[in-house]
Amino acid sequence: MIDIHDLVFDYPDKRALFGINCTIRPGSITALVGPNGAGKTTLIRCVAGLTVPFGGSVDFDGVDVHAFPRECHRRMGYLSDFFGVYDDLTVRQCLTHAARAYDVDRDMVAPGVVAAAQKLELEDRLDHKAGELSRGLRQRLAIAQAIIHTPDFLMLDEPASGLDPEARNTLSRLLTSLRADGMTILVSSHILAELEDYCTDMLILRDGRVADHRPLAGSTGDKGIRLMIDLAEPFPALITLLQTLDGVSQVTKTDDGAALKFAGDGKARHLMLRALIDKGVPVSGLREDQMSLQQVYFDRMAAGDAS
Amino acid sequence: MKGNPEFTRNLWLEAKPSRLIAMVALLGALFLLVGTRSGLGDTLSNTALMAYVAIIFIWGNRLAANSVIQEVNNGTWDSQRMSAISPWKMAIGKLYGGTVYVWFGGLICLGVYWLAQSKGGYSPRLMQTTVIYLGCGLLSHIISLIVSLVAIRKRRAYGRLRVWLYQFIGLAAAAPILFLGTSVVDRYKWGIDSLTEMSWYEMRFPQFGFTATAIAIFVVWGIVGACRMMRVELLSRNGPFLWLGFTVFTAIFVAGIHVPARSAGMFRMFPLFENSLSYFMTIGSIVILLLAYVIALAEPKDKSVFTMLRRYAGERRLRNFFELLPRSASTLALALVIIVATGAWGFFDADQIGAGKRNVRSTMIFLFAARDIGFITLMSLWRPSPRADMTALVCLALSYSLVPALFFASGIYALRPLFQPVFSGDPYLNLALIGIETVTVYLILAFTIRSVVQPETA
Repeated sequence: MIDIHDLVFDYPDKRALFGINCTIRPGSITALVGPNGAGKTTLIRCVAGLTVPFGGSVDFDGVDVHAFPRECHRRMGYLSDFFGVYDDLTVRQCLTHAARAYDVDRDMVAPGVVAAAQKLELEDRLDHKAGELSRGLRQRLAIAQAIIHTPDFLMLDEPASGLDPEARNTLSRLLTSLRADGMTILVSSHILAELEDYCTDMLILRDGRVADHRPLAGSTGDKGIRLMIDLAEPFPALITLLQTLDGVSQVTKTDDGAALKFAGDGKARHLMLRALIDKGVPVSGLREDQMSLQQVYFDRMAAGDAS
Repeated sequence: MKGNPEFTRNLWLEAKPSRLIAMVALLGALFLLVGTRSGLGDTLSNTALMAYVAIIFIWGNRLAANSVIQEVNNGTWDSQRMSAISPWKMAIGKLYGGTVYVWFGGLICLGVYWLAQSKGGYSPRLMQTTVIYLGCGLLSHIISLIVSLVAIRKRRAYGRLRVWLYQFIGLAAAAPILFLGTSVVDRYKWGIDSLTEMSWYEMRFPQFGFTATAIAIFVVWGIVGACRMMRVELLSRNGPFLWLGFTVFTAIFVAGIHVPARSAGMFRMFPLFENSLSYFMTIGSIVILLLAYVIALAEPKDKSVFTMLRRYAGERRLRNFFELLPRSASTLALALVIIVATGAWGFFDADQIGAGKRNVRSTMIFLFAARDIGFITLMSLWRPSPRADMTALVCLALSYSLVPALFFASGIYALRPLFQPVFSGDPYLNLALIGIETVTVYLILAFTIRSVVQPETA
């Protein structure tokens, strides 16, 4: 979906991005995390084509975003961390303007406005002025404006800042539902616990470089889940044995046993476990990999500090 | 306009019924008060024109300048930049949608002016005044919008003071044209027929018609310029030719206008016979140099420009290279070509006197302009901040005024040609001094560019 190659960006006084390389896979919700000043907003603005990088490129389904920004923008949505809405317009007018500005088919404008308002739970406020809305509702309106043209790729920069817990929960449900509709989402935030609720991938930036980029717990990037097998005592042939089983791939050794990617339903998992026990493997536990986004983040930060 | 989302959005904001009623009520009360005291006539028509000036030139310029800046300040501009609205629709939507309310008021004022003045029937002056005021209003709004578009390329947050500044620039640019235009109308009014014609390239034109046509042409150039600036904001690229076309057009237009005082001044500075080709080309080259200053101050000159230029040059992407090449450089090159052509032509122009002296002086003025533009660019690289241009201008103003005065007061006359064009004394020595100074500035600039341009890869 999005391929970032050797992206370099300089501010007048310092380099912000040092040759970023990564790929955002279709249908994912990628959490873009990192300490303040890591380059998250700069990266999002470069990916959105709003800022031209000094070097490298961003391809959106094979189209160079900076060579053909307007073609790409028709399929992108973006919400800035410093977003605004037109306070003196009603919610309906704001959404109508956004729909027409994104060249939504004239006949689809009015239904699109209602659909976006429903998705963001704003349908009962369509005739309220945007300036009269609370922070959370304005945030929802801004997101509705960003998705009114049903983009394929949505970028949200700190969408949850300033939201109360209920509004964050609504945001979480919204992003999950947008993903279910086929949208790919890149979301930057400092609130790791909240990202964990809906993100499938994590991209950690540190000092303008990619510190880590991986699928999150339970998500292997395509069909399948990550499983952990714990042993009561060492079993040297475990790795070799696992690699022969159906649905098992990406097997790695851990301190207490092994980690693997498993494609299959509950019955297939049961059959795999039975096969292991039949072969005499001293299995003491089988569980989903629950390494959290926070754990990964802090591990990577600690590793960076140590190096 | 119906298919322009930006215009429609501005209509929703600006042309609310309550606001329209308020404008009608306010102006109605004003004109009723004046009309009942003085009746239809000059007092009422002058009041209407004053109200027009206040609404269109003061309020309207502020709205035009604010139409983009307010979006930047309110955080809505990035969404607009990512929308599918074309640069043309965005520029027109902002220019006329953002000012639709003041135009509503302005047109009421002009209507009252017509009513007050046409009591004796239609007169050409009515139409002339209306055309001049409308044209100047359009032009001043365009200039305010262009200045604000130039400004947002350099910074992304604005206080009220800056909006006032852009509003003032639009006003300042339109004021001389308004003054000229209204004085044309007044001359007609008082029957000074000898002044109602003017000369352009020795052709005689009715002054009003010429002024109105000129305003109309520059309004069109202004709209095109605003659209080109908007293209940059909306992430498209512009080629260099339109700017050069505008530069050549303005040079040809200004050079042809006969202004007696200018002719005398030109003769003192450049020994030239009026209305010769060399005369027109010399004035044209000076106009181009002035525009080079304007564009040098307007365009971004940070290290990103030079980094990208190096990249494009390295990859032999000549089209991208010339799209990004600072317009001040191409404008200076154009001025140089004209100065060289004028110099060459001077040797074949038997009617001319002092061709050598004239060429030295033209070259000297070119070198000063090139030095100044090099210095403005240097300041942007040394002090990368939105204030760099202002700092450079202050430094240049001091170097043209205070520094030579200090040298003069100290009895050091030999260094004056480094700071001001000096036509007395040995012209070739003076030329050599400013030549060395200009080359030095560009050597420092080249060294600075090499030091600030960072490698593209990490």
